[in-house]
Amino acid sequence: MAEKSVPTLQVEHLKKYFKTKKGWLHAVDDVSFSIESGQTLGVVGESGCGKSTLGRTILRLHEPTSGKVYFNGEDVTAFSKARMKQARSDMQIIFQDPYASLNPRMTVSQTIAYPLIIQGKYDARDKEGIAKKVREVMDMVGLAQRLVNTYPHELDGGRRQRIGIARALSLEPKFIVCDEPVSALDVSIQAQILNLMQDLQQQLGLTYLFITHNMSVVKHLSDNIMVMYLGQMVEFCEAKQLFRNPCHPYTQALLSAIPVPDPDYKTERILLEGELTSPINPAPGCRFAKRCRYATEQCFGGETPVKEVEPGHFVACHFPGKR
Amino acid sequence: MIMKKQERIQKAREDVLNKPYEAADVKQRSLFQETWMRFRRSKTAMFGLCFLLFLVLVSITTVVIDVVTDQEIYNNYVIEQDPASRLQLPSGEHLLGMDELGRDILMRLLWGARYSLFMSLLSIVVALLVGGALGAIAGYFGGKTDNIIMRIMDVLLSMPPMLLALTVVAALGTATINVVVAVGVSFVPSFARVLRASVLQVKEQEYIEAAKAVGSSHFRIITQFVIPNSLAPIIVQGTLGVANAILTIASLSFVGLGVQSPLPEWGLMLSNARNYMREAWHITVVPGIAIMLTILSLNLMGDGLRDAMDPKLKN
Amino acid sequence: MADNDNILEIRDLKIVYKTQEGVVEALNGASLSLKRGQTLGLVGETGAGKTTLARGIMGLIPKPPGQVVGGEIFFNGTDLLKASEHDMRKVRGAQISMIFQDPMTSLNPVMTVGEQIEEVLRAHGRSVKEAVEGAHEMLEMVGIPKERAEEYPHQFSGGMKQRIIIAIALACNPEFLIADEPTTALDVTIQYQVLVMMQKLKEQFNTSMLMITHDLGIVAQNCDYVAIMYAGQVVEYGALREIFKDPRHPYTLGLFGSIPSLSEDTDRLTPIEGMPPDPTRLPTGCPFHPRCQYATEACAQWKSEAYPVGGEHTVRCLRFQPAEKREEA
Repeated sequence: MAEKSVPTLQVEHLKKYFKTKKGWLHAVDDVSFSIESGQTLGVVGESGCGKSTLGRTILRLHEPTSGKVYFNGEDVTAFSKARMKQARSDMQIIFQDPYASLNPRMTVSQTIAYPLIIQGKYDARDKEGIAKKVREVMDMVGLAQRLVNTYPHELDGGRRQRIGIARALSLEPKFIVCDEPVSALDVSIQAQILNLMQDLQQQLGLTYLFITHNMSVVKHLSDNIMVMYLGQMVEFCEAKQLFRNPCHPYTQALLSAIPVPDPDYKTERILLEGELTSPINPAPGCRFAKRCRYATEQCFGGETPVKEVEPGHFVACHFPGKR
Repeated sequence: MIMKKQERIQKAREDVLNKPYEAADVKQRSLFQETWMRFRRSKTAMFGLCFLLFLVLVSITTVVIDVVTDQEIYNNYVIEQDPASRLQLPSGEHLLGMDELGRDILMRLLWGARYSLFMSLLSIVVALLVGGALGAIAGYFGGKTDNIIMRIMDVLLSMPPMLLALTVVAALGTATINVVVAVGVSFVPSFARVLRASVLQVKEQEYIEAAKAVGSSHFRIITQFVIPNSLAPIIVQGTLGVANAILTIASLSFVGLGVQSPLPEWGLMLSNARNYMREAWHITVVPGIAIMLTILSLNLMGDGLRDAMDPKLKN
Repeated sequence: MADNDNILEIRDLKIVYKTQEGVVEALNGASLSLKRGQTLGLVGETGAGKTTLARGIMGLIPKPPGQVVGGEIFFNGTDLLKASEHDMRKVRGAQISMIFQDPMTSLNPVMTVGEQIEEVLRAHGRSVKEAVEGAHEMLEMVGIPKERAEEYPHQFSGGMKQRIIIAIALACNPEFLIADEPTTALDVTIQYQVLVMMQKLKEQFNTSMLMITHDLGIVAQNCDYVAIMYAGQVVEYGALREIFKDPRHPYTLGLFGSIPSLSEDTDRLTPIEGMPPDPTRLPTGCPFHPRCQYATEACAQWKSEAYPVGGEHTVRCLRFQPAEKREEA
């Protein structure tokens, strides 16, 4: 058998259900995909589609209900507590809210040094070694050295987000879940952070799972894109391909609803009726069927097939590509 | 020539880029300093703080005097009775008059400050440690742990604090330390509740998840992330609690289950004086005002602290 | 006197907030105008003064710490800054309405949505019967069955709540509507539903609209005029195509360089360097010059003013100073 390279991350039939008063909330329901080393997978979808839960379940910040997550070929879901702690230095996360994601009682240097001490990379008494490493990481994310002893509440959103990135990078991870890292930022700051993340990926060979609801950001950064709807993958393909030939009716509607910053840009715009239904105890069949203009009887029952319409382009629909 | 001009522009640009932000970005104030700055602005809160510092100073001074003089002053002026000058009204010699057994009320007030203050402080510290720990554990772990702890707290909470303290003292006896424990126990449930509520809020913050994502243990997360960020409401509650504890201790003394005669505890002074209220107004009014002022100061300071710590009022 | 075509004309508006940290110059000589029946998109980043401008028009600047220190706001030819509070109360709701950003917090949770619409109508002199009928009519208009008038806000989803807020804002058929980030809290498909509906209602009632947003895409698809704000000033103003096809101000150019394009493949974005200035200590001269790639020493001394660059297009940048003025200086 030929040597086949192992993808950095491989997710198989991952499920995460939450128990609520009204029943089981299917936050992530049978999602499978893989990301090659050094690549970016963009995960898009609207609020409540389970994209954030997906990222957290991969990192076992939530324990998966079922399914497997392979990191460099090893099954993360089977890791012991001690092995998991060790693995955490290779798998990190960057959060959306630069205000809520930093401990207000810790200075910039304490925040960046904390993971190093927890993971035992540095002894807490080795002040000099830690300071050197902190300086190095701050430099990498473009934070001025004079900010080393400031508290998060003294800094603006862009700088705070850089601290969040520095915290994730200090452990030199291979894989980072980026959970809406730029959604809370102003456009011009957003562009600075996106450039920074791209540069870091190239320099350090990082692999990203990039979660966002912003289609233009995801197109800009991703190699592959996965579109999610109510906990399920509806479409997966190469980034450019998705914009050239969206095949799932939901993807089509989503793409057409984006306001394009060009007054002369005219395209057929699809107005979706209704809103997201609840992911609690969902009915069988396609979850998008109620809002879908092509839905037929067969969409409302049974399994929805995942079809490969082109090599590497997967669509969970009975009628992919219909328009 | 052209290059030079561009270089000059570039340099001018770098200068302005580097300059105006320096001062603006870095205020270098910790949260504690910011809280103190806001606290200082409230005159009433500062009054409370000053009065309490004064009481602390008085208590320390009297303790030092006792040690130095081997309790001579204490025995001669605070304990020693003088039937001849019973119920004397305030005068130049005795600024606040004499009590029902002919003791100088001013001296007794000064020497009694330590009981009200330190006993209540001690009982609140006990309550904070026990109640805080229980509340933090209940809030952080949730589920069954939460249920068991909070139901026990509910049972405690359903008894009036005074009654609870009475029961404890009645069971353990009236030693000073038992009074402290009794009052402390009666405050545990309310502190547990307050801390649990703020822990529940803090635990949802993303920085807790970030700490989990680097592999922190529960103990570290609770002690380094959850508790420091949940303290504000419980500090306020604690300050107001001290006021309540003083009242409870005074009440216990008043009904004879707290501090015992002849110690100059304020509540006890009030209790002993009540039979002579009609003959000499000052022996009830003076300790009453002392208790009132202390509690007022604590409440004012508590309110000031709450305002200073409330992030909603920030900016 | 103001131009009669213009429903709104703001000249040199200056508003400050006096805080502990210093004086925040929220609006620093902002000028713009809006023609009857048109939509003006007001674009800018956090702290640029967009919301202060909207509040200034509504006469809702919290005093203290806020204070209007200069300028004029002409609405239908009368200066709102000179109007009494009594007159303003008649203007608000009836002639000028406002839609707020967060649909979750701008509805009263203990009143049914029907009652909330009725309240506005009653406040402007309709009878109870008229108000109830009007409320039902408005709900149908925003695509909510009138039977749901008896329900409370928590029974509606985010998009529905925003529709209700729009219904409240349009209940008195105002001439002028201010929408402050009306769709920022909504998902993109819901955002599109709401925008389409707003556009339809606007045309139906011939309402003029000031649309505050940070999303250039929304502006391109929904507005007729654009004003770009930076540090309390309108740095560029013009008709939609003038701005989108021929942006002049370096800040506007920077904004366009910051958004990833959907139609073209760009490897790298070209963001604006640095951070927005601290509003308590704005740079001298042009407030943008510390971040501007074209800045010269003269920019720090320049007395900020807007220069016409053809059509209705004006730019507040020293680079577009007409030659004769330059010689004068």
